[in-house]
Amino acid sequence: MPTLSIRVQSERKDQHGNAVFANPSTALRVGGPRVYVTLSPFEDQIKSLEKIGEIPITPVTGTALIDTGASATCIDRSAAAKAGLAIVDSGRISSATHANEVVPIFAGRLEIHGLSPVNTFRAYGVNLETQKLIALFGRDLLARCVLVYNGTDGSFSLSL
Amino acid sequence: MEDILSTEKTYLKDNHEELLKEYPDKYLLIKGESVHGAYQTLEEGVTEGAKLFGKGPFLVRSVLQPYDSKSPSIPALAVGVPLVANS
Repeated sequence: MPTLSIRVQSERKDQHGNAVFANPSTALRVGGPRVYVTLSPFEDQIKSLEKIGEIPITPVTGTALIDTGASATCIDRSAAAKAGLAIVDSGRISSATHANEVVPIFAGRLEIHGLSPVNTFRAYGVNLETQKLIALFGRDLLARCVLVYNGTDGSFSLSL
Repeated sequence: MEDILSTEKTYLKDNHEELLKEYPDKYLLIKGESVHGAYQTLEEGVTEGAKLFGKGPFLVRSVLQPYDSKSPSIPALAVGVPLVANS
């Protein structure tokens, strides 16, 4: 089982414009466990879409936050549309602005950089753009993983 | 927001018994009020759906699941807390 190990590093500017590095433990507490991911349609699906002229397909790369409090995985709706993921179902979800809202469910391929691709995943389409995220990994995806969170060291590892 | 797959879901729900007999344990590809295929995996259903209907929407769902799944619990979204905490 391949393992991705990350010790979180974070940099900010002080009042004089000098770079200040945060303590990894603080950086992990503030930013949470994050990984880089790429969203794309299934390989055979890309071929099918190309055949009917639905191109270009642009895989979308961005940041995903591992959220052990979420029972299901969510992806940013605009990122999913840009990546050409198909809407294959719909479901209800509650957000701060909408209670029990019907949202699309997308299916596609997910690559966590440094790990093997997840060939099939389903995720609720929500707005994560304001959080500068393209995905929120919930416990449905974590059910396939081993996650070790080391708060004192400011590190975590994810095996898939 | 209106459910863009309400026709397909209603069709699945209303015809569940017959579909279950005809396609046991399969993932169904449904568009409108028709089944366009039955597959072993979600991926196969989505690929075929893309071939026929592009990016969708179309419904690919296990025949064993005629109703919507229970709404997921996602506190960070529900409460609207920022996902980055600075304090």
